[in-house]
Amino acid sequence: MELSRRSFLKLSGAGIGVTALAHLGFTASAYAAGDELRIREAKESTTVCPYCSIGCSAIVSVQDGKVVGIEGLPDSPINRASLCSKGQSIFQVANNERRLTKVLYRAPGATEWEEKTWEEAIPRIARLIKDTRDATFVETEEVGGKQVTVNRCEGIAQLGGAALDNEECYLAVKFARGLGLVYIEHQARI
Amino acid sequence: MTNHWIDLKNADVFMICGANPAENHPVSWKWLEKAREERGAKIIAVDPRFTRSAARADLFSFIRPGTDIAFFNALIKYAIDKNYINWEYVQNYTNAPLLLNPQFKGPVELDGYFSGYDKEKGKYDTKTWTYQTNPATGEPLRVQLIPIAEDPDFPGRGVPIGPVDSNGNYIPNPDEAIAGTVFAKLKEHVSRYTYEGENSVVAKVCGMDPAKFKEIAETYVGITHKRDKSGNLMYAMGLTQFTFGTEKIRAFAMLQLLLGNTGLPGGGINALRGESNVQGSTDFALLSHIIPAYISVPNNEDVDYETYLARVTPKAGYWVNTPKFMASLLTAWWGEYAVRDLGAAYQLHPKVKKGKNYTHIGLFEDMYQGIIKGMIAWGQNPVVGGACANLEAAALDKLEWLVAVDLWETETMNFWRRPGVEPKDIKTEVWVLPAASSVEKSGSVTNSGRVAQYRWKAVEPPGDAKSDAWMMHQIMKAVKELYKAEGGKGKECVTELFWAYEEDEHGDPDLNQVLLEIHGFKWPEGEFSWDKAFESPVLNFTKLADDGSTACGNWLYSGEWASDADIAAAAKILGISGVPEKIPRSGQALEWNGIPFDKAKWHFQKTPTYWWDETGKTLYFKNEATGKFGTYSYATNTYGEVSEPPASAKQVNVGTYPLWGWAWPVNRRIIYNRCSMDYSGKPFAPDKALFLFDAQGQNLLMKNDVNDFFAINKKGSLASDSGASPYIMNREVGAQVGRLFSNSMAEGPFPEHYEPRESPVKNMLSSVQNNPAAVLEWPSAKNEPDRWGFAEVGDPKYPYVCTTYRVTEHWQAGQMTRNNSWLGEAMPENFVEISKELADELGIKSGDLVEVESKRGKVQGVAVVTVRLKPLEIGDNGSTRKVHIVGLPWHFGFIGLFTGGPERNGMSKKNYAANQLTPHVGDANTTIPESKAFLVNLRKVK
Repeated sequence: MELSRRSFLKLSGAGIGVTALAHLGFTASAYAAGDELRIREAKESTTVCPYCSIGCSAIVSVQDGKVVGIEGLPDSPINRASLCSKGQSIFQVANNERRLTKVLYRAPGATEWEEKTWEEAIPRIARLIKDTRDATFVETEEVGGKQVTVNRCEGIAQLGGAALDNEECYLAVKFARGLGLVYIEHQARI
Repeated sequence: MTNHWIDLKNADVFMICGANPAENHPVSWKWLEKAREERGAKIIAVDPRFTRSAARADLFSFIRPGTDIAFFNALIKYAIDKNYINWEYVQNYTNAPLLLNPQFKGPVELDGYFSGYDKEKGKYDTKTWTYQTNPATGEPLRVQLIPIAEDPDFPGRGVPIGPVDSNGNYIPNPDEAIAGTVFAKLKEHVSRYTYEGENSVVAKVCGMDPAKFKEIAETYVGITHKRDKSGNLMYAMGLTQFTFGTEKIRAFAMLQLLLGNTGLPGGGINALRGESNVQGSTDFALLSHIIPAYISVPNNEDVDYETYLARVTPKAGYWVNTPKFMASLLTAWWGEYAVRDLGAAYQLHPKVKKGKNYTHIGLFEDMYQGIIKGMIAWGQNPVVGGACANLEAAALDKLEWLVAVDLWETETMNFWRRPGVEPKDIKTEVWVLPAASSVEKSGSVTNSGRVAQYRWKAVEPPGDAKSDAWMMHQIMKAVKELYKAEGGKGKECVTELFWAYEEDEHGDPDLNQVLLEIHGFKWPEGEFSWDKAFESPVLNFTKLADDGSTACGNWLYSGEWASDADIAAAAKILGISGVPEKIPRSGQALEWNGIPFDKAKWHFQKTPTYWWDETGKTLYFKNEATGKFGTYSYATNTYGEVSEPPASAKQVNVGTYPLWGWAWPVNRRIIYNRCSMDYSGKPFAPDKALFLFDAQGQNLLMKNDVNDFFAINKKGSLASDSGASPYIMNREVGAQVGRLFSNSMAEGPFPEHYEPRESPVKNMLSSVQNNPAAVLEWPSAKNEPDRWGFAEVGDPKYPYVCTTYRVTEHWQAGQMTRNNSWLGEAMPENFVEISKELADELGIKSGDLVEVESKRGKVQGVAVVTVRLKPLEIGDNGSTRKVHIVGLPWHFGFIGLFTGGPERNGMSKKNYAANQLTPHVGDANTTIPESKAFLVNLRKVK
């Protein structure tokens, strides 16, 4: 029997449990379940796993704006449909009630979070950055008896980035160096 | 990785050290198994613990944490003793034949030091770490390590002509003929790293069984020094998290050069990186010492642009192009301002204080001293993942403000209510920004094999969550407005920063514009517009200019934007008409130019193939122009042409998949790939060949990867000859070769064994206990030794060596897996792994609650008594003693669905982060913390 990708997906698709079966080979029960699969009406796109650095590709099935299934992409020459335990659980990253959905604020000395809006957060963060930058910025310093332009902000650090996309990493380094930051570090160092 | 994941299938022997891919990179293991099935590859694992990788290996040895340099140097000694050396490679492609400055001295002569050590400064003066040079050309003097053709004309040059030993290896020239060379000095250096018998270094320092060492050496060195075999080092933080981590990697890289194992399929030095885009984030220089694409950060002695360029631009190697890369970066960052005046734009870039350490450890030390007032953390969780985590959490207490961006609540954003502190006392203002996950935004990520792949937004982020790009964009816009309105210090740095990305309806910046800027374009005439920029992308970094007229945010990624010609060619193959869609090369999956991925995938999965006839010793490769097959016979050294390969020829797919994703640089899948061929341009390994030169050494007849070299010079200077300069990034004049001797390392040109900062024993190789070039005491330990200091050598209060590791169910600092019920239920609690012997000594059973304590902290976990750890017998002050190893995972903390303790779903009263135990001390070159070997005590709680 020649399987089209579409029918392959029908057979292998509903969530992790059935996907795991599909990796072991097609079974009669998987065939029987084919018509009932919840990704039947789903729109597919591809993604790359957010965990380790192999770069396994996966198919994300979306229905009514919700991720309804994630499984390994058979077409990727790197992982050839395989996903590890973490890769198979990307579904729970997308669908998880523990995800942060609001901006949170903790006032100095406070014991709890308060919910805030982006309209409150962005101007306040910009203000914190500007005030700290102005207070700790070194425009020139003496080197070998001469005043040298150094344009360096010593009071702000930026940490992180190994989970960001390349385009975001680029914006992050441009953002930081543009502000004059010198304490710029991330997970590659630890 | 010098190579890439699929390429693992081409290896003949794997050496897995300080990594556990079966557990932490599980999908990679299918490629090791493929190598085993198809090539009979052998897998060796050397680790303090019998890991899951060890369980699937052919050979395993225990090793005491932190003694890998002694092990690797012993392997080098073994290779030299047995003459298991790829001499053709070593003579032509490494600096082994170069003559050293006679003033240079090593640990053999100086008891553990190299020449030039300044005890006061704790640093080396490297002026003796040089070659002897020809005063006229500045090129190093070289001798022949083996008899080799001296004919200046190709193909005579570079070809060995000498006698061979019983193994078929060339016999080196006698010692007196090669005295003073890098090779001779290396041989002398490794002579102390003995491997035979109970009193050998391998036994007494590493705690290895010498018989097992021999088996490992005979397998790795004995097999992979052969010209058609490749050995593959797979390593991770188990090698790097040491005060001498960089030298460990260097030691193995040197072994790889001696065996001829780099630059060819199945070989290389392969770092198994831990995060999905830590390769990309490193390439984009989210690090204090570099700016994008590994250019050195300007410092305060680089007073102007010319001075800076003079310091960072070498006289040889590909880095001579640095002025083009730097000018284009300045234009990408300060736009018109840089186009008008590069020198002025350079002054807008921050300059670090020369010699000051701004790395992770230095950053947290300065924060602890109150120098840093505010911090933005993009998804990093140092209160779990940082070294000496209690110190790093205490440093956060000193901040005026913290902005933490993540998908989840983390320990770091909750540092003000961590176990043991009173929130009221902590005056830090904290903002938590909810971020979009990887399926809620589009963008590319670069895997450990340097392959960038695009992932596509599938759904909107939940609630108010936004992409990190959105946050950076909106915050930068707001800061720019403030500076425009109010002025302030260094105003122009911000107001002139080129930040013109157009927004979509959500306020997200246009990532295609960002990607074009990364790739590079000719800065348009007149007023800037993105339409004009899109009309003038550069082809790749070879087209960048040094005068500010081109913008390029990262030269290594220049080439990721597909050229119109490429798109047109692909469109023709796929049968598409019309205007090609603008798309990065990393972005084929999903859909391409309006074609569903399903229909286009056959195109993107293509990979070059050729045929190898083992019996006839002949290569067959298709000539697309004639439709015929070119041939090269190893048996007769002749070229020919046939209409069809014989049935006995096997089709070979080296697995480069050039159309799947896009690899930097310029889609090269294996770097330094000139070394896959011998000097005359024949593949070392015909059954995994990348290239074949014609008989004149001028044209490539077969090409399975993007070459990083040009022709073999028939006549003329060695410096421009691809066969004489295969390591094109080496900056040394007249020596674009692999370096068995390096003047770029803080602690010496050859790797030397020192003990970890906290060690149970004195260094048995010299009187120098610790890496003399590393900072061994940062201010925190100096000022508060009882809180953040170190155990003494052999400290009876901390008798056990502790090491940390990861488990397959969890990831890094845990926020991505400890909030996930499927994974958390599979691995819910922190545990402490100990050997049966130690369990018996202490009366501990599996399941008991135990507490591990170092000089800096305590952490509890459930005891797991295993045979995966065992006490090692090592030498100590002339006698022998037993050393116990304790292991624990470092993923846990105090918040999340799973914290590592018995509590679920929220805050725990205890902190289960193993990094509370680790010291704040780092590598001499990189300052990566020493988190894989430190001293602890252990007691049963109940």
